[in-house]
Amino acid sequence: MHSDGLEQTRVLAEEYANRAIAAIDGFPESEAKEGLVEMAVKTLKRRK
Amino acid sequence: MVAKEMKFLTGNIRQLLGSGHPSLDTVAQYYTQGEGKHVRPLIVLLMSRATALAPKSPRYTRQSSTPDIDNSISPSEILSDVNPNSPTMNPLAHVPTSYSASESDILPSQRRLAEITELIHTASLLHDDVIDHSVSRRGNPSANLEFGNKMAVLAGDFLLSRASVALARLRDAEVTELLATVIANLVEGEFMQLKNTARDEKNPVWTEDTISYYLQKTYLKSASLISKSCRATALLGGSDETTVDAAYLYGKNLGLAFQLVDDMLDYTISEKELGKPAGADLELGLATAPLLFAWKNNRELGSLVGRKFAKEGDVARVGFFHRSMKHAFINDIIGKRTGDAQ
Repeated sequence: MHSDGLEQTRVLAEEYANRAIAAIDGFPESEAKEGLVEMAVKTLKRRK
Repeated sequence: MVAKEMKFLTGNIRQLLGSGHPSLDTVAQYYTQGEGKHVRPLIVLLMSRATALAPKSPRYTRQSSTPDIDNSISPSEILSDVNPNSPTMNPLAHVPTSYSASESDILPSQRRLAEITELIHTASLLHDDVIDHSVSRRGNPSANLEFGNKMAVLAGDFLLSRASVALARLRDAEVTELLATVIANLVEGEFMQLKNTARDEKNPVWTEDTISYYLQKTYLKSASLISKSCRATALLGGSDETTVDAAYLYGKNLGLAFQLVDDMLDYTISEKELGKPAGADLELGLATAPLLFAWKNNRELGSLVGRKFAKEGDVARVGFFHRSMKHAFINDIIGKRTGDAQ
């Protein structure tokens, strides 16, 4: 019932991660660009 | 992808940290020994490569092939800054780096910037551990515990100084301005964190400003270094304005996401898994995002935030509160996953 503090934090983190990915959308496709996208995705999944 | 460059990172950082004093060497290099995650250098190196093929600024002229980032600007006898590890001071000490690989699309200045970001980050860890009275870092005794507060603070200052020297030798005023501002931001963010709310009331009432104060603090303490080093990376590579702004926005949003997740883990992950005490933020009196959001619908938390959870039973009260939060949170996620699967 009190889970909304953590849930809202997670939602906001996800929003920022998505904005990070969107920011470099215009970069030419490359492995490095994929690496940057992966960093943003991994940020949300990390456990430490 | 940038594994080769990352391999040389620690050695190169240590090269920047040599001094004429053995115990300064020991303290300054103490946090460079462990296997840190090196997230910031990794981002800089990836950003270097990702922006290499992006459009260039019209003013950009390709850097000369002989980088002078190791050479001082003033005569070295004037600088009187002994560094036995420096390749220019002592050719014998020169450790092979991957800098010579001229076929790389990562510029020497961008690699040096990656090292500078780690130096600034490590300095902030040295200072943070003093402020927070930490006892361990990455499974070892923290520097303040091992060498005392005085040496830990001075070593952090030394790292910032050598970062500034390395920065000056990139010979790019705009990049210097960006990274010097990061250091100011780190200090200001730390000052903001001494209070949980802007006016530091005894019995604060939740408003939207509560969240903006927290986010501003988080930008200064965590996202500033990542965002401004991403911007500096693109500038060093001669990228056009659009690319420079995109790199900055990537770093800013990633930095904010990174810290929000960090604040969540402080509540949801066990001490063993995290490698540092869980719930440490609360013990320090810090109200981070999960608590600030929960406070919105539980106004009674205000007085606890105001007194920084200092009253006997406060941490336990929030702890109990959060344990039920955590269970509900995990149940929510399991619920959603089961929902997805159906």
